[in-house]
Amino acid sequence: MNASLLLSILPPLTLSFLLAGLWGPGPHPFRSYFLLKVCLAVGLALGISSCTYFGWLLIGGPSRMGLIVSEGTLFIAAAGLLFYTLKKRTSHGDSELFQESTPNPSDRWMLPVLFVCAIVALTTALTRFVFLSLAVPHGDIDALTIWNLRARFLARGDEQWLDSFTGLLTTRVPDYPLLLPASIARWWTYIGDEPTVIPALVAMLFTFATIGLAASALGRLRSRGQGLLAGVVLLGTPFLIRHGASQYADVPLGFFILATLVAFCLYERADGYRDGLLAMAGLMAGFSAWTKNEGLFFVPIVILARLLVVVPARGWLSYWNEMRVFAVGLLPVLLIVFFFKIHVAPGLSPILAEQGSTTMIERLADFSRYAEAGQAFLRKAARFGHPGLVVLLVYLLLVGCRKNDTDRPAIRHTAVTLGLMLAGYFMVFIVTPHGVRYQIETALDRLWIQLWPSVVFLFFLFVKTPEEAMAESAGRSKFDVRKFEVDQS
Amino acid sequence: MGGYAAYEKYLIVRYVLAPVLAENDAHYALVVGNITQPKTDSQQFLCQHSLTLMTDLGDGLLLLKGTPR
Repeated sequence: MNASLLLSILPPLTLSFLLAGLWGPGPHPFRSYFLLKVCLAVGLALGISSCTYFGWLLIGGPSRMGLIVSEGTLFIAAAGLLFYTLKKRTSHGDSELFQESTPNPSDRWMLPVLFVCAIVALTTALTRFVFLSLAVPHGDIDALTIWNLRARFLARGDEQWLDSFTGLLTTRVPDYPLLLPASIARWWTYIGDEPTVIPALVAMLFTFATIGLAASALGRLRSRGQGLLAGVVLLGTPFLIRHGASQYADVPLGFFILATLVAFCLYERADGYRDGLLAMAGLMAGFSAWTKNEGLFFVPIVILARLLVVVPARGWLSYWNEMRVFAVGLLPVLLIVFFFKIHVAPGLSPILAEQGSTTMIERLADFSRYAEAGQAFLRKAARFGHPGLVVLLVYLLLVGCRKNDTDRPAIRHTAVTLGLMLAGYFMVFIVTPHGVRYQIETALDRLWIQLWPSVVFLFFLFVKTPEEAMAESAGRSKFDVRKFEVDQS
Repeated sequence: MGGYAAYEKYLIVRYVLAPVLAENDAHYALVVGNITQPKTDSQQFLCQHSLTLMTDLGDGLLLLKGTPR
């Protein structure tokens, strides 16, 4: 099993790391931003291999040896090509994205303290994740009835794998895309068995790669202390760990949303080769659509948000040039998603399929629905994440927001995207045919967790770093002492 | 037979049996029975639902022959 497991993981992971090296930021393709690139590579590896597995099911059918040989050939050829391209371009021409802040005495104890806090939080979260996974080895009810069920159909189904997309398998979401089930089924096919550790491992990779991505990106874009703080906040979000362990697709979707926004932020800051980051953003957005239907909503939102931010500042031509490169990453995955939606699992999500045009208009005109959904959203915002947004706002009041404008376009784009996503989710609650109360009880937590890592990322992008706050505080103290000495003299 | 707990058990059966498609209905050629109440008279229950016992798998789990609709 171990050799098969390694065979299933290592080739796509190596390929993805090479791709992250080629497209990612920093002066050196591998050494710079190592943790950030590893986290991106985890998502890329699962996304790419789920697509190749789906392609193999369509073309080659369910043959284990055929899959291993064809994927192996494809990955080795692609990795060779990437390695050759990387060797040709030894340097990206990028400088480091951020300057180390001027050392001040408080850094000497603050960074080690934050590091210890992050290690304690990581150990606690990992332990909790393992125990939660052991308690529900097949995942919670939706994992059992949607994601892992479909993975079983793909891995066990021989010629019947398509049955899971017919009306015979009564499920409310026949058209849910396949990134998660195909990733799990692919590993099961390689191993030739169905150990429950595989879906748990996929869930763990996505959960901790999300946290690692937010922390490492902020560590590079802002400061080490800021990255560690963001990591501690996400590790200390109990629902993120619990929901991650439940093996639902919301945390993987949250990863791809965050990865798209991080790639755009790194693109804004990079001063050398930048197109790769746009293509990376496109690829990650595509994988969000390949993970869940909400990802299909995220793709136009992120494009629209880019338009709203880039066009007023830099004009249509700049926007068009960006979108051309963004499409290079996005379109291949989007084509797979549309092929799947049209030919393999035709049909609409119940939220659209069960709508009547008259009733939808009636729902839109019913203001009690807005009040009920609005109250639920606000209550959730105040409580979410324990400590949640309230504690983050208190932190903002204590340290203040950053003063320089370096990341203003990136902050605007991230904020507009998340704002539009929230508005979109809110409108789904208004027009849902299943009742606002039902939607709040069954979906609100899950929708929040899709956006929460990106909200934390945005918050720490915007707020002053602990290093800056400490330096300012130290500066103020020196000023006070000097003022006192002047007064005395 | 009814209730959410029973429906959850059906979902688990569907998960376990995949890729065989299991419907939440007794009107099929093959039926999986899960008789968990000790007081249930199995024979009477099977007659009532026009089912014939094929294999008793133990712990109340039965493979039954049903009458397709």
